[in-house]
Amino acid sequence: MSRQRRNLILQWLAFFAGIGVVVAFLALTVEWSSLHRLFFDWAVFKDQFPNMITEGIRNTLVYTSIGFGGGLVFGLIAALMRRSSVPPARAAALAYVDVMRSLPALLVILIIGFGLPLAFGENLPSWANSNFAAGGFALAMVAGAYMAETIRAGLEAVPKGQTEAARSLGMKSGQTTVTIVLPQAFRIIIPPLTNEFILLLKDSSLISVLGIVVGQRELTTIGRQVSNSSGNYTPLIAAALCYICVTLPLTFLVRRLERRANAGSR
Amino acid sequence: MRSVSVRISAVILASGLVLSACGDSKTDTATATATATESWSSSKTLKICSDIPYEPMEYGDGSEATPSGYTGFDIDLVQKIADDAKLKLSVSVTPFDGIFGALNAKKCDAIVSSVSINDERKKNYGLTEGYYDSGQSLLVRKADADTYKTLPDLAGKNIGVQTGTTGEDYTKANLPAGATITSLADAPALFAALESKKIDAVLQDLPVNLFRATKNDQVTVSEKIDTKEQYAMATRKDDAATLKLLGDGIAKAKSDGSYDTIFEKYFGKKP
Repeated sequence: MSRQRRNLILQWLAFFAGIGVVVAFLALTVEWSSLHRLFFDWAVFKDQFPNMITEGIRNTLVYTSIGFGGGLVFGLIAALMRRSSVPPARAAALAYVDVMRSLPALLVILIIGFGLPLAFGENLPSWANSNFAAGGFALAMVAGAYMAETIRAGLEAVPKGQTEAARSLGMKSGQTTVTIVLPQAFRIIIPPLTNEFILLLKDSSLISVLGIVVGQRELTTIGRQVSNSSGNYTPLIAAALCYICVTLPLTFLVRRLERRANAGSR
Repeated sequence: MRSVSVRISAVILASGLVLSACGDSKTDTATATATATESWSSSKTLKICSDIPYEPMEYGDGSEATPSGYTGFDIDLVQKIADDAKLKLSVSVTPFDGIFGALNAKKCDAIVSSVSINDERKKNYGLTEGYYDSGQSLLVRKADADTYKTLPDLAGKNIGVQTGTTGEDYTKANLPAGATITSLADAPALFAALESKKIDAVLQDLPVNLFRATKNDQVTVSEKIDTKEQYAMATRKDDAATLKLLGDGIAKAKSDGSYDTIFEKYFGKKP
């Protein structure tokens, strides 16, 4: 047997030994009956549907989309401002990005959700005080800061020659950015932006700190409310599965897009 | 001047997206809060903030067979007030430690969530007359019932309270020597912490602890502390219309007997 082969067999054996130890440990220590009853009760699980989908997934996606759409706009503006020739514009964009990236999303949601109505009082229309608007805006502010950096990286990844070529053909600076640089930049940053969407999807659960009405609840809130009122944790497992069902296809998509982007540039 | 036109187009794009976001949110919030100064006319929506679950005062998972989706003594009472005034009731489930912030931020018109009257709240908010006589109490594991008979017995132990409540204030003011306070966000978290021995006692409102003891025979109420607390519904200080609506509603429920009916439904006896 060659040394390489022996090594490989040893690695396999070590892997199975490790798994065996973990399984044995869990089998002996976990109280399976109560775990099964409290977390994996099939009857309770079935009860969660279709509400978990029609209300939970729907609202999770709505909050996330508002946050993502808004974040894309804030991010794009901030990224372009960071490339501006006006120093205060660069400084303002940098301040926004640095401040927002150093705050927890929960804190931003609390400050914006409770701060906006207090700051604007009667001038704030009531729809703007809803969780969709205020919570979505807070998410967008956070996401925008991260996306600004992603978009900026994308803009910088477009070869300078592209800009120079466009300019030498007589295109204006703004026109060059919009028609030549941005489309290429976005092709590069679609995978990291999808990752941002996934992160945002999970942050949307934080909006519930603002108080939440039936019909506006997202996955985590429904799971918590039902499990709080029934004393059974199965609804949390149901909510977890829903997140996985939404997120996993997206992660596969990101991987595919990344592969394709790499293949295209080769 | 390099990217001015880009920035302008970005702004236009931004406003477009913001507007479309508004379109999204309208569907669910068209019935949102009426402004504070308006008086209540029928077919409006009375929005209340409530920290759910707080059994038996307010609980449910949003799918109860009631108009609001939630139930409990407080909810039934405010539902009756809304019904009489021909208002729709909408319940916003809000953590208690942020509930007054939510009221100030106009997330709701009133708090109906077992709010005990105290001087600070009286100063800062509109409070109805007390509609329920409550008090504090000590919930302990049954095995400890003889050891922790009163609050001073918990010297050096770990006492659980809910953040932002009068129970928390009381515990801080009467803390036994060497005892620590664990503040948790809601009642279910307190019960879970007590049963898993992370804390040795729960100090909170009497009806909620009593109800828990009837549902779970592993725990018991060892001390009732008569703090002469009463529950009231709370509004913003400047919102006289909502305060009047709720105050008149409570008075009417007491005079027409519906208060007694609701009371008996949740506490098994007449008040």
